[in-house]
Amino acid sequence: MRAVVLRGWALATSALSLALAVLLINGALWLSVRIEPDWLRYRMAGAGFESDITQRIEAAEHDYRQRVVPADVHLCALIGLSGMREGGDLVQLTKLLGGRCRFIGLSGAGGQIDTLAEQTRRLLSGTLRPDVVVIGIAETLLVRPAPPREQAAARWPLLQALRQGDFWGLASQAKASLWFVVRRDDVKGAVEQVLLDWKQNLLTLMKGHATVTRNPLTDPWREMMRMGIPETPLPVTLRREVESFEASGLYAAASYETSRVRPQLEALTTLIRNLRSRGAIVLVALMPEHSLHRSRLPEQAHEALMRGLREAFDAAAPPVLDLRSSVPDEGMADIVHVNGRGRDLINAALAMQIDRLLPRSSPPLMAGR
Amino acid sequence: MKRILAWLSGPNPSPTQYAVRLMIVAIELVLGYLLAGQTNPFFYQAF
Repeated sequence: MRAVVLRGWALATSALSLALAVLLINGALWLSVRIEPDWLRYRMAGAGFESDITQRIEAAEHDYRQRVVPADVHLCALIGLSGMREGGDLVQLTKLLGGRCRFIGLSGAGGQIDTLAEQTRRLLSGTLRPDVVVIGIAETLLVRPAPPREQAAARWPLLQALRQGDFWGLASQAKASLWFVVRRDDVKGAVEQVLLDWKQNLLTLMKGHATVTRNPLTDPWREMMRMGIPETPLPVTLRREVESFEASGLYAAASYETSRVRPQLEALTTLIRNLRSRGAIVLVALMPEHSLHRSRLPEQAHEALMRGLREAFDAAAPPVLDLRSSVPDEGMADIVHVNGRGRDLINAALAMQIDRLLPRSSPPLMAGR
Repeated sequence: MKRILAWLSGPNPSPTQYAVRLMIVAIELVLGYLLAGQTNPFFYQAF
């Protein structure tokens, strides 16, 4: 008996010491970023997305300049925030359109339409001329979210969750406070970048053909970065997301009053005008929403968007592809992002609409450039 | 190197030896977690 207790004690102390050692490493990594913030770049954040989008545009311009890609195929661009980034599938779209369109994914992340315009501004100053541009948005992007309530912005979220007996919240807060959990994707990206650079250098040294020496991480035609959200959301996750939208005032009809949505509507209409002035056909896609989210959005949200487009463009308003209820809840990974199943559905709908819009008689805008 | 390995793997470890072993296991755990996130097939093809 005594031996069993001793063995159990030894195991428990070892496990505890190991946990402490892991926390120590976590602390060292956290401290390293405090001292030298730039040693590991944020990929899945505003600036990371903007540089990713800019790199894609510049690499595509380079491909056209060097005539690496044929200019006799139409060019289609997917602009948007996370809804479009998670939903758009460039390979699938290319297949569905029978190769009539070359797709470039220029979607980032953020909470408002002006962020979208900022992240893709390089497109408007460069030589890339997409024939069709799909702008994937949601009505909630018209609103600047209200600052979170006092409760949501608790100073010690861990203590608060403990006091409320919210063990799910406690576990997720504890997980989110670990540096290596939060920055795992950034580490992954950096490691991939370094390894691929080595691989490409080796292949170039061995005089490999251009198709193998091409770095897939800098290929402008690569898929957009996805966050890797689990395919099936937990009910608690959905509830928390709805609560967060609620706390930001996005379900309040008053948030969509004309004066409050004007700045974001202007950002959208300016972007559409700028794209059209470069010859692009613009399609506005309203991205899918989970029924829990959709049922809470006030009618005024959709009305505000449609009214804004009508007032700005009158009869020349861009076509709007309404995908909001096109995906059943089983096709959603959370309240505003699709999973694999949902992705298939929306890409089929997008391809059908793009096919209708693609100019049949005129040559691609990039032809002869 | 041999001496370091012998010091690390010797019987009846001192508290220092025990702490160093523990840190190595912890680093392996963290690295394993970080690198298990490698879903890109190019990560494996790189070798």
